[in-house]
Amino acid sequence: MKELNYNHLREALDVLPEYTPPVAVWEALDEALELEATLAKNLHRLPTYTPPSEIWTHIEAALPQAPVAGNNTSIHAVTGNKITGNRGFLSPAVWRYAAALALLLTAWWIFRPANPTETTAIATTQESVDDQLLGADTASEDEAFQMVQDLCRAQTLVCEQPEFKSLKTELEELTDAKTELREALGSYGDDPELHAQLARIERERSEVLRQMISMI
Amino acid sequence: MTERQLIDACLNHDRRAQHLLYERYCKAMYTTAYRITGDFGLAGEALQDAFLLVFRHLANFEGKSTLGAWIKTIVVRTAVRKSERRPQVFDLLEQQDDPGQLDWGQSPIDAEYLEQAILSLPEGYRRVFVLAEVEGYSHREIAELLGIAEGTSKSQLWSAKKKLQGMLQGIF
Repeated sequence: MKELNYNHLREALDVLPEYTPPVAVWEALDEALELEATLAKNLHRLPTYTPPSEIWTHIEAALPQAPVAGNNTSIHAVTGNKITGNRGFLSPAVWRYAAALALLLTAWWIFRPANPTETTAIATTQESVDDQLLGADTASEDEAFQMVQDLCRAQTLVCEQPEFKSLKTELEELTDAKTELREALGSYGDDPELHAQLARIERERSEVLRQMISMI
Repeated sequence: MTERQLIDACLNHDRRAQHLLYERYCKAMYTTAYRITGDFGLAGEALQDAFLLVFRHLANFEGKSTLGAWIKTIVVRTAVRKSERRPQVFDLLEQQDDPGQLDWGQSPIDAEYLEQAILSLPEGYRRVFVLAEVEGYSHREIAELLGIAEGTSKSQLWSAKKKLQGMLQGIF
């Protein structure tokens, strides 16, 4: 493939026109950078949550059980790897016996008969809700809501979307419910059921806030 | 301000420094984006998206190339992605037994006419031609940028040049 007089093409390519981007490009970029900087500044103020203990129970139940000792099936039989001769200091059979013995000893240690003089007792405790902890959580939630309002002032477009407005309405309703519940708590004292309801409302409120922030 | 000082200021989210960096490169990058996308609107979008990526990943710039080359790679990838969202119109390769030769003529080529001819090329040809002949990328680099084989890049460039030559001959 031959090109004749390529220099003419080259000379023209070297003087092709250049274009200036519209000012709006920088303005949009500036706004986006401002939003990212605001988010970066406020992300650490978002609340954190402790998962319920049932989650670990479910995970633990789904984890595979430890292998049982005395099974003739070796890892090599399972993987199909062929053992070819004596490769190491001890033969594989010796290692298998040693592993089985170690497992038996471990099992004996764990399940060894208890000292007759020891007694086993079952202790129960009743958990009560700490008001101060609830208070602290609410404070960080309010900060997060304030942050959303600040962000909306900088980026009003997403805040005008119907989905966002619907979330905002839901948040306001949950806030009102929380206020009513707090007033009820004041009247009925330390009712655990009311505290549990309050915690549920707080969790829903946090979820709504999280969705609002993710839209922004 | 040295380039290193400019980068450090940008990393500190100094808006004036970021604007300065943008101003320094925006014209060349916008031009590249326009030639790849063939559309000023898409070029503007690509420029904005690309510079957002530049500022987000500036900490990853290792200095193995110049800052301009690093930014250009981001702009090219972004512009290619932008233009890939539109339905592609491919011109069928002309059948010929002899690869033949190209003759760019005895007279100089008018840059304005050349620009119009380049922008009239089918999108696939235009991208390869711009990246190879205007931006100076190798076929290996073009293949990586566009996700095509090196051989495809070479054949697309040849086809682009044949088409370009035909258009220019029609003008002159």
